[in-house]
Amino acid sequence: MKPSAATALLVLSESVLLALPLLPAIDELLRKRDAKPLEVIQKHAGDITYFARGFRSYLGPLLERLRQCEVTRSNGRGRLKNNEEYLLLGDDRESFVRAASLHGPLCELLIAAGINATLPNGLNFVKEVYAAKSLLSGERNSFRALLCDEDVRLRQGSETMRWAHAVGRFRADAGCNLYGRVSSDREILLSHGCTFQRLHAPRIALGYVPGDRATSSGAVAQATRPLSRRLIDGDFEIRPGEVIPENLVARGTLRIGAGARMLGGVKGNRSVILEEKVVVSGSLISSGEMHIGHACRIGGPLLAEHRIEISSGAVCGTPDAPTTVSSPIVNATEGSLFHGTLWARETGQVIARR
Amino acid sequence: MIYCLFLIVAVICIYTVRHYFFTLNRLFGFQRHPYVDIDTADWPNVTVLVAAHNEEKVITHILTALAEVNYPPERLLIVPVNDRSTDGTKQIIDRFASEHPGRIHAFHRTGGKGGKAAALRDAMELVRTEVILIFDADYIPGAGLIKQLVAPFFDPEVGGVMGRVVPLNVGRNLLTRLLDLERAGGYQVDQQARMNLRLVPQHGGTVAGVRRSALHEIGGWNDSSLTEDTDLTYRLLLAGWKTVYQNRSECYEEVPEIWSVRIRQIMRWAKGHNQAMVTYARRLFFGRHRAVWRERVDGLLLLGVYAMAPVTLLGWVLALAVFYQRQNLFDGLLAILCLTTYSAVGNFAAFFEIAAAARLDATPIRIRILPLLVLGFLVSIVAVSRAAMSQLFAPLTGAKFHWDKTERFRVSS
Repeated sequence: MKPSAATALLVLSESVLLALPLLPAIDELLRKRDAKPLEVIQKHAGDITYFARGFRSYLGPLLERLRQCEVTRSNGRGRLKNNEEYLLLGDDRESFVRAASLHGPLCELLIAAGINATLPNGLNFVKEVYAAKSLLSGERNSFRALLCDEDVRLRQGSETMRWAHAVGRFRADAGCNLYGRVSSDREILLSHGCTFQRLHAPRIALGYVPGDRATSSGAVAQATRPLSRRLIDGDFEIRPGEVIPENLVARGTLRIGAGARMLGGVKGNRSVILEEKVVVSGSLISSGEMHIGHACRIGGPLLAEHRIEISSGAVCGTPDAPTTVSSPIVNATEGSLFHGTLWARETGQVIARR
Repeated sequence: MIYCLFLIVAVICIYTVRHYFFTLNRLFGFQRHPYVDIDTADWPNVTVLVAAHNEEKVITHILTALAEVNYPPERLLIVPVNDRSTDGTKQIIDRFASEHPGRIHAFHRTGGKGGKAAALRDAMELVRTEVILIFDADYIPGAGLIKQLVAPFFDPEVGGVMGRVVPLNVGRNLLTRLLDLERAGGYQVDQQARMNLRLVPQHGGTVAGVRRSALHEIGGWNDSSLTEDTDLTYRLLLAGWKTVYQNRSECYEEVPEIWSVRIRQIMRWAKGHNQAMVTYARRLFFGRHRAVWRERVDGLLLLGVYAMAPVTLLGWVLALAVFYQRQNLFDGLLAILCLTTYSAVGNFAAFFEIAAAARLDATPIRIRILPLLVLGFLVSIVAVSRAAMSQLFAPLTGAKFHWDKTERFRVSS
């Protein structure tokens, strides 16, 4: 081979070797298969009723027929355009098992009930359930998703897998597991042993909460103008009964003595411990764990980056100014009350009162 | 010469470790999004400042988007800050203000010092709220963004908030695609890792917020800074205020579509950043203030990121010089070893970061562009080095403060 040809061959082969790793890049540059902006603008992700509203519009074509079933006290079956099979319940004389022709615990029909629905024990609904009137589940029922235009009561050991929304009251008996989102336009009541993730309602009561006397907004009214900030390096303790008229940030652990009153927001960069009957008008934030004592009242958002333990009698938010309580793990004792959102990213649990 | 090279390689190694540390944290570490769950609250009054200097191509989009956000309308005031515009920006803003009385309040600035910080400083006369959000005019916020950016201010330790910037005009050409990857790496990995590790997330000056009392405490907007956002980050830090990053508070922006605009943009950023480095580095690291040690170290490294470009160039030159000096075979080989080690591992760190960002964004196809990022890297290193040189020689050349506005490419509506 001539030297010039060898040189040309060398240059060519080197060029090919150099270009090889760039071929996928050039291919993508020319074909533009993924040249769109990231789809990241989440318009509805924060709206807890988003799925419920979507399901309601999905049900749209069935509602007129459901009303007819209700008037004629009959049940109906059919398939939607996507071939999904549904059951319309309008006859309250026939048992659900017979109406749905069930031979086992698995119900694979989309259910739309125009009557006050009472379900038998041990059923697993793998499709969504809609109830135009009230719904009383059986024990150990499992729902993929549930929408109810009146009150819902889940009996012992039942579970919701994705979401549930009640226009009326949503009540879960002992030992229910509420995965995903549960919301009510009126009230959520959970008994001891229930687990939850994301709850939203004007009033969320865990166990029995006597009346609403503890929820008057005046007790946790926030300052009308911005407060100054006090920044403390290290641990800090507020004496019982003390009144702190400013925002407070402790770089270490923060302990607030019984009956103390915080007029602004409070943050601890480690644990935050509230003894009983502390009132915090603003937000309460912990970079670690948080312990809320008996009968404390918190006005603003309550966040803990690791865990929150809430004692009975604690009240978060007010009917006039609902708020958010959020942490990966939330352990709330029966007798605590929330207005707004109660969000356990990993696990929330209602602890029985001792 | 060889010791100088050793020093450069050592500094580069520190930045390499930093890149890997951030990326591994983002892939496998504990992820902090402490404020993203606040969806119900007694939302405070907010003022949204939209900085606009000759923005007739884009201002309509942001004002339309802001008028549709799901924030309590009686608690939201939108203030488009028309900074000496000579195009149709004023007319567009006035039209919006008349269509949304009480919600959009125009602020027209006809004279005074140039630059965004000076315009924002003047617009503060209209601000009565404790929470202030800032957007550049080419951004398009989603409906829920205002609540997401306001939520961190419930934390009394937070002085500043920064959201994630996402390019909108990605598919225009090679440059926009490269910038899309760079932004992904910078926000999805770099900023979020800093948030996770409680370091110093950087305030970006747009898709961002600041607490008015904190701003007042640190002396307001610094209109002599070319990057008021970096300046703000450090002044807040020194005063004991936290800047937090919200990775899920995304907002579309327009990135430069031509290289000359990109070069001017990155040169301005580099100059502003270097300006902040000179002003704050010593005080941050050695001074008596409220920043903790990890913030001091990270803050110092963040201040130095733009200085690394000329340092890297110098390292390459020194490595070659040492090699060709042939004074000592060991020295020459060591220099080449340093150079190749850095090229093989060091450079790759930034690419690893961007690849991780693409994985987190679930965009496996666009990552194929990654090898072409070398081009963007080379352009940036030269542009940033030029900026540093011009700053270094500014006392000799008599160069003065000059604000380069980034040109817009969107077709006006």
